Amino acid sequence: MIEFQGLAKHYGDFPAVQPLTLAVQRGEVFGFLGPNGAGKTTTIRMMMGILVPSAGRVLVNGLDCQADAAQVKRHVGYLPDNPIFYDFLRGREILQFVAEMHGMPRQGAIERAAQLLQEFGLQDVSEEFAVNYSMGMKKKLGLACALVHDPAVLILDEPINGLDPRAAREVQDRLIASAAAGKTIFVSTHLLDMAQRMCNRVGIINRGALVATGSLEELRGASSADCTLEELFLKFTDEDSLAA
Amino acid sequence: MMELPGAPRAFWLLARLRLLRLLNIAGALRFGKGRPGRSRAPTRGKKNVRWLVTVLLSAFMLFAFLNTASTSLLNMQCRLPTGSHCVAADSDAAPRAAMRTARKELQAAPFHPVLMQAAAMQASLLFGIAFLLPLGSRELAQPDWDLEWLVTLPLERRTLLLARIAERTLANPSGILALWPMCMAVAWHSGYRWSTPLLAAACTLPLLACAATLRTVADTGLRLRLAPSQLRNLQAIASVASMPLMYLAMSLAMPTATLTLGWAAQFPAWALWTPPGLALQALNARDPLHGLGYGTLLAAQAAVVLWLGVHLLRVLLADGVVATGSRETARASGTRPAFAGWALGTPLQRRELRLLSRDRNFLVQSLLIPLIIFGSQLVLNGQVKNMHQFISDPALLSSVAFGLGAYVLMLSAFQTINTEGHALWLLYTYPKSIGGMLAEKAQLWSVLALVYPLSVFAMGLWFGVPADGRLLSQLVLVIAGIPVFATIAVALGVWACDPLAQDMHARVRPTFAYAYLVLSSLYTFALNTREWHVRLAAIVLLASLALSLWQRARDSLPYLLDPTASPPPRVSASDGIMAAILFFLLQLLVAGGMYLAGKPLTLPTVTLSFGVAGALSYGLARLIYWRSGTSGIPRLWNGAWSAAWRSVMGWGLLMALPALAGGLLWLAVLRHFGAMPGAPQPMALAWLAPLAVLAAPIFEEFIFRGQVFGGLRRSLPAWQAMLASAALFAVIHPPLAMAPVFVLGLCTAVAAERSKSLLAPMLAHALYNAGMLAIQALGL
Repeated sequence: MIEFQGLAKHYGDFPAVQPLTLAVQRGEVFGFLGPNGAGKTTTIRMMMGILVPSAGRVLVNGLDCQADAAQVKRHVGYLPDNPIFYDFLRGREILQFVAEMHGMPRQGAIERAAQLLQEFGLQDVSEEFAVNYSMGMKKKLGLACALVHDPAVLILDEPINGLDPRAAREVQDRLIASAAAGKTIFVSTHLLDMAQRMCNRVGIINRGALVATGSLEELRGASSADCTLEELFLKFTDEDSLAA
Repeated sequence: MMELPGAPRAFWLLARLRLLRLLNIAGALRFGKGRPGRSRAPTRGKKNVRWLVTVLLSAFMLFAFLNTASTSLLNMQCRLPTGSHCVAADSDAAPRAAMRTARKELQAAPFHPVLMQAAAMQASLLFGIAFLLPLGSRELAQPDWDLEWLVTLPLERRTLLLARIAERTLANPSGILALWPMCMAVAWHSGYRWSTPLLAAACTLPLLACAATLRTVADTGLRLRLAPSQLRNLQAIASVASMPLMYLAMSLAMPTATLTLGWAAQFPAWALWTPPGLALQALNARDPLHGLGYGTLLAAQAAVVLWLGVHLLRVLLADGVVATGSRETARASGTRPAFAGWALGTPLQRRELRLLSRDRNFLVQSLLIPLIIFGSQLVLNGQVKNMHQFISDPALLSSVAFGLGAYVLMLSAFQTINTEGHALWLLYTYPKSIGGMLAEKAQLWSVLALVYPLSVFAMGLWFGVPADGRLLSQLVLVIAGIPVFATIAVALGVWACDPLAQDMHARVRPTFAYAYLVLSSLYTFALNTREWHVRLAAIVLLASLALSLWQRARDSLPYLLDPTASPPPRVSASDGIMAAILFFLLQLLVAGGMYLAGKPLTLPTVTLSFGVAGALSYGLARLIYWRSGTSGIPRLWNGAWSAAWRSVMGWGLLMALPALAGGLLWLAVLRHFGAMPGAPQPMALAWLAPLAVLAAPIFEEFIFRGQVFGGLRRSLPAWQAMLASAALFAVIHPPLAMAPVFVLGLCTAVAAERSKSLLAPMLAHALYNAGMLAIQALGL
């Protein structure tokens, strides 16, 4: 469903993402793990056509994320790490607008927005300007925007980072439900318990390079048995062992 | 426990932080590679020459303001009852002599009291600008507010506030540009020479400190007391109010501004004892002791203002510095039923209208400011004495109508990326091309901007402009110009806007705004001229420029949010337009050079300059393409020559026929109306033949079919690219030749399209030129 073919990005001399080759299957929940500044957000922005790859490409549903950027968006819902919305617009209006931009008729957009606001527990603040939302509300609204057109693929950048435990759990449950409904989810995070709970498979990226991929069992098999994802993560992103 | 820094040290640390930030912003000035180490270098922005433009522009503006300030002093000396003799020297007939007289009078003795009062009015106006213009910048209504962070430092609040005021005293470019040149002009005309800039700076500084104090009280203090909506109103008022002040101050340099000169003469004398007035008195005092006295008084007043300001701020900030909220709350008690009735335009256009209706600043900046600027210019400059003169001239009427529309576009369509702001990422999540969405916005803004010229025309008709053919043609041109300029504005805005910039004022790069203004003045020129072919040329040129700029802008859209990457070079129609301009300029240069070297402008020199200019611009374009690795460079033939020659010959010969037929028909028409040009002399033929059959086809085909048609073809259907490139090709020819050359442009574009090569259109062009030359030479 998602296919990275030697995708790379440089900022001047700095290699933000080194050639990345990876395939995510349909219906899979893939966790993209890495420390801060490892290149997770850069990779996701290239998937969304926000950044232009320095080399290689990434395909979603067989469509090039750069060349067929508009077509790709029919199948993709995206939540950035820090969703910023238009000033002077209410949450409900933003959601309606996004639905209309995805081609829904006006009445359909109104109904869909109301339904999602209800589902995400945002109906109390639907008439508030979205810039006044708390971080958790913004993330929920962003996720509602990502789901508004019922996409087959979700690309989520740190979806529960900065949320309180209850909100984090709600978002996770929501994502697990989406996965159960057959959506492919590509989720970046550095929160390992979330990855452990949700993901079928993870990839660990460090300093722009993919250092490990596989299910938790496969990764465990590569090292000593019976260690947690946290231990695996620390091992794969250990600066000293990389330098050695 | 660590010792806290004392007030001076804290002051220095804060100042250094600001300075460091400014230096990092001007990072393009650093040439070194930075310190080696493990840390990655700061991400470099895209390559640009912004800093050079900024330096040049500031120098230019400083000079222009200095000139205005000096002229207004001389103008006031002449026009006000100061007992000057320059009026007797009949200033209308010999303005230079009058100015010379005024200059001598000013230097000979202290300024006349009336002049001092008038100058005090000007200084007060400029002081108002130094205070209002920065206040009107969008910073005021910004949610992010660095004071909230700064107060967490272990510092006295007074130190913090003083540091903030100090920073705003020095970092106030509009204030410096308003006050420093004015002080310099006064000092210069009071007889100072090389010490002028220093003395003027010494008097400007206390004024800037007062302005910074007022501004800080206004935004830092009021921010806590006023509701966000009131704050936005205040900002809108500040930005609106500073405009007439500026025009009022500038109008004092105009001899025709009798209205404002009258006000200046009546300005109360006590104003001379306020800080702006004291600065004038200090600079105009003819002995050092008096000067020093006034200067000390000025400094003392500034210190009092500063002390009062800081005291007031401390009172205002006593309850903490966190403002209530960035935006007034919009929570309604119950959910409103959503309106699902009729809907105009696309969802994006509806959203834009909704933002416009809610964001008062956006509304004022884009739709009201143009009216105020135009209104104050018309009224205060005194150039339009009465409505009658204004409406009786259709050219003036349409210039004003178009200028107003173009200005609205600069403040709206030009900013279209910036209105997305930090929410720009949302555009990347929709299943539409970014270019398409920008086109929707361009449509919306051209409809809104059209209201202005239409109202001006309606006003003209109301006041009795004859509704004749001339007015109608002007109206059509203005209406056609608005969408063209909406396109240009959005396209230039793609490069000019930086919605993610931290600083408000860095969100628009001024270079592109000036480019837009230059282009709109070109169109205004076309509206004013009566030569139909000049009009046609300007309109076709601007329309094709709009197309090619749009194309370039679309190329760079995927890179909008990319901090470092730029689009790979590809041949674009804009290359062709630039090459054509270069070709034209080089011809003038070579011919002019030969003329200066003593060669008269005969056919041989013209031919030579055409050849040299063509070869130079052709070579330069090739060199640039080769050096930058540009893709899509026009090819002479497509594929292997053994296979391609048939298509070259075939399409070249075939397309020469309709072109020649068109030329013959045109000659017949000309002969019928007796407008046939004379046959060339046999001697001239020897020079014309190589020019027409060799040089012109090679160079012109490279530019017009290779670059312009090839570039346009990238984003347009074949027939549209053909029409546009042929129109552009036609309008650079003499008026009599436009029609047949248009046909030739179409034919050669077909040859280029079908053969995918340049040799075919070159052959068709050469055959056409040879045929036409032969017919004229033989007198058939």
